[in-house]
Amino acid sequence: MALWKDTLTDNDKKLIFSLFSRHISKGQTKTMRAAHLDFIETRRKGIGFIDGLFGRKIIDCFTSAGCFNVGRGNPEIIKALNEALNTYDIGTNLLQSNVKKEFIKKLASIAPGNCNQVIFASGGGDAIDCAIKLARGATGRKKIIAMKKAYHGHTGYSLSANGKDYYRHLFEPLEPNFVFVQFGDLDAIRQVAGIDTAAIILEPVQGEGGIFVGDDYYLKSLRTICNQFSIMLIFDEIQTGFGRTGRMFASQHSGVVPDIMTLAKSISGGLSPNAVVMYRNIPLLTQYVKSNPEFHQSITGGSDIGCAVGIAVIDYIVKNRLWENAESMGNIIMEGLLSIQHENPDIIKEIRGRGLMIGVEYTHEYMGALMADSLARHGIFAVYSGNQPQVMRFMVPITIHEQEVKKMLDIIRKAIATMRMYMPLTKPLSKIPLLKKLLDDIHVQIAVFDIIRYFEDILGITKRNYSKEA
Amino acid sequence: MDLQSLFEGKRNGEFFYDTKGKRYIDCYCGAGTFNVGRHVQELSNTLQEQADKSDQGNFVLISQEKALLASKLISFIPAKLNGVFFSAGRGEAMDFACKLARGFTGRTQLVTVDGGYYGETGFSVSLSDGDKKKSFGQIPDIVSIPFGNIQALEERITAKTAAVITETIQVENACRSASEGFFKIMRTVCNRTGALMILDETQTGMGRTGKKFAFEHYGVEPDILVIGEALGAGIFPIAATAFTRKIQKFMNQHPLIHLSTFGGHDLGCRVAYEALELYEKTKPWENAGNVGQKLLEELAALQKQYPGKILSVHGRGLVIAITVRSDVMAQKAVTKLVKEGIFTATGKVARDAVIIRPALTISEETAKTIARSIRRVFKTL
Repeated sequence: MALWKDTLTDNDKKLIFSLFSRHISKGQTKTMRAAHLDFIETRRKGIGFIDGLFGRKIIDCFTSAGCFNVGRGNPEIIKALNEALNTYDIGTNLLQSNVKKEFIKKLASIAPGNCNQVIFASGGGDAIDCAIKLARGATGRKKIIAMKKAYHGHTGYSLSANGKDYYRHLFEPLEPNFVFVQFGDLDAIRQVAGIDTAAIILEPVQGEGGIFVGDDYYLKSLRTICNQFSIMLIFDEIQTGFGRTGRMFASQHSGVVPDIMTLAKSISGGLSPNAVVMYRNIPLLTQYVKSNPEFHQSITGGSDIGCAVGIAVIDYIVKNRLWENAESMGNIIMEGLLSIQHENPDIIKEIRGRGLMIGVEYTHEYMGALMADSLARHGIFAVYSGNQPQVMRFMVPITIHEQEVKKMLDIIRKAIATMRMYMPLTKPLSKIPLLKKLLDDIHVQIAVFDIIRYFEDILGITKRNYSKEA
Repeated sequence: MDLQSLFEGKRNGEFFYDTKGKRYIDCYCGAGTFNVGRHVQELSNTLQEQADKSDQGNFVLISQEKALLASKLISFIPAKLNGVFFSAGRGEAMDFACKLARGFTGRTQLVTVDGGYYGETGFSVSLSDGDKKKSFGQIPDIVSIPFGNIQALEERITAKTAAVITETIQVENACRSASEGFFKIMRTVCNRTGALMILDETQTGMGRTGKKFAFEHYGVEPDILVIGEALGAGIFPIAATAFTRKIQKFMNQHPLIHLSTFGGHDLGCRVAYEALELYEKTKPWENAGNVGQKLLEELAALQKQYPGKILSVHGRGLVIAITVRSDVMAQKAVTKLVKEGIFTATGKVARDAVIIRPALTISEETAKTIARSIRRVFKTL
């Protein structure tokens, strides 16, 4: 095939699928295909992308779990990248550069309270590992309190802090000094927190866990508990940061200043990977970092190109006050979803969220996969939470306009109507306990959907559906 | 000179310039990232062109960038490996290698060697030499054997072992390496016990030692290979873990069990694809072998001249360690070399060693300049 094309022929697609299956994961290809999520992103622009498979416009409600806050293909960010590339490469981690310095200053200028000191990391997981090392190193304590259903990443320490069995169990034993409590349960924390605790780590809004919002009282109480025992409060703002929830950082809703905060995803502008750990300007932490400058070295974190992009991302968010847009557009979507829920109480159980980090919980687990499929057919890419399959996350770029919001809600309505067509089959089945278990089993879903998809492809149904929408 | 006051400005090929315009030969190269030189123009252009229409992409989706890079990388690696997972950096790639070994074998024990350095994430810290794991937490069920000790291989790698993990040359540990026999027997014992052999070639791979990968020197092939930042050639952060077809079964049966947001970055895959083309076209390992050998000989001669200051010189291709009398002396040498216009660093494990790892594309002239500067520094040290 001629490489790198915007429009893909059938042969191109076949080749891409077969190479991906052969060298990356056949299982993943099957999973994505089965759920009609076998998009191939070609052009990327604004709140979505063109699916090279059928040439359709798709609204991106996953955004690589919150990487595209400033929108996809944002010309201002691209310009910054292009300019940086005229002079810089990723640079030398042991050395300073003007652009690194400027980025550090920029981060400090938007920091919550005195959580304004910076360490670089290569990505989200690496940043969490760094945060855990910092907390343990500075306090000299080991125990870390993490949340059930929490999601922090896949590297050694971040995985140890993950509260979901699927990601952990085949790789255990992991680092053992983690205690898990229910998100939102203060009594549970009070029972395990003490002078032996290095840190409490949590996402202010749980993402993968199914969009659970930590309320102000909860976060403030955690701050008090941490103060009482000199425990480091770590906020994982990798998904919630940079305007997503209606504030620059989710912690700013409550005014709670964390001791350590991790940032990644959107700081990269979707163009050049970068991540940071920010920590409070307090002697316990600053002295530790000063006397252990090599406690967490990253070759690519804080790369000169990444920093140049990061500066542009922050400038763009601040200049356009994007968090305000996230809040107002979030409110409109929330209202729309609530009315959709009102019309479909048998399908939607609950709507949760803050700003443009919104979760829709369906009444049954198997509906997550079904809805992903139906939405994909109508032009929205959204996935259900890995840690909570009946919850679907909507995390569209926070640059979204009101008209696009309306279109999005429209598609969701249509998708629910499509899903209703499956219901006469699945609903009675789901009442039989064993079958319900089967329906909820992700492997069964993939197998069944894959067969359906196979026949669709043979009969050409997929194409017909798609062309109608286009 | 305090490194904190050295500001990196322009970069080009073998060199970078500080913001005052002083030129340095880069003998650190981002710990072996800039194998084909600083600010590689072709790759910088590729990224600029692509960023106009593409971006990172959604990490869970299938993409032509991921698929084509994976296929290209597999044909680039001179071993029977078939599967790939991309990461943003070394630690992540190594942590995944360990998880893959545990997941695939259903065993938990990991055997590492002393003196190694693998990165800063949880598994990597736990495998590496040093005190970090004591302060930061150790992943359980990891045992360490002496690097190069064949008997220990036979004794400690058993049917309970998921994998044995080692570098081919311990770059951060004064470029200590082991005999061909050590690697061959490691392979044999792994075959016998079903343990997997993981080689970390972050700093030795992509041409650094005179071959594409250092395992070629020893006549062995790993089951899992960790490739570091040199894959993105210093223009884009990308690393990879490659593995055999057999092990791939695990990834096929457990889709999306291990994820990386930045790992399969579509722009990164594009840059790495072009970087691989460049590697294939220019074969920088050939130059690394030739120039490296000459540099090694010159430095070995220097050692004979100053045996009281330089204890030993080790290396292969263009990664060479000069071990001196003390940590303090190594640090002094690094500082003096910076004044001479040579930027280098001490080892992370053996701090009494100065590591020389320039771009693989350096000319003999530059290599001579490096040797001359080192000679001058040791004269006065």
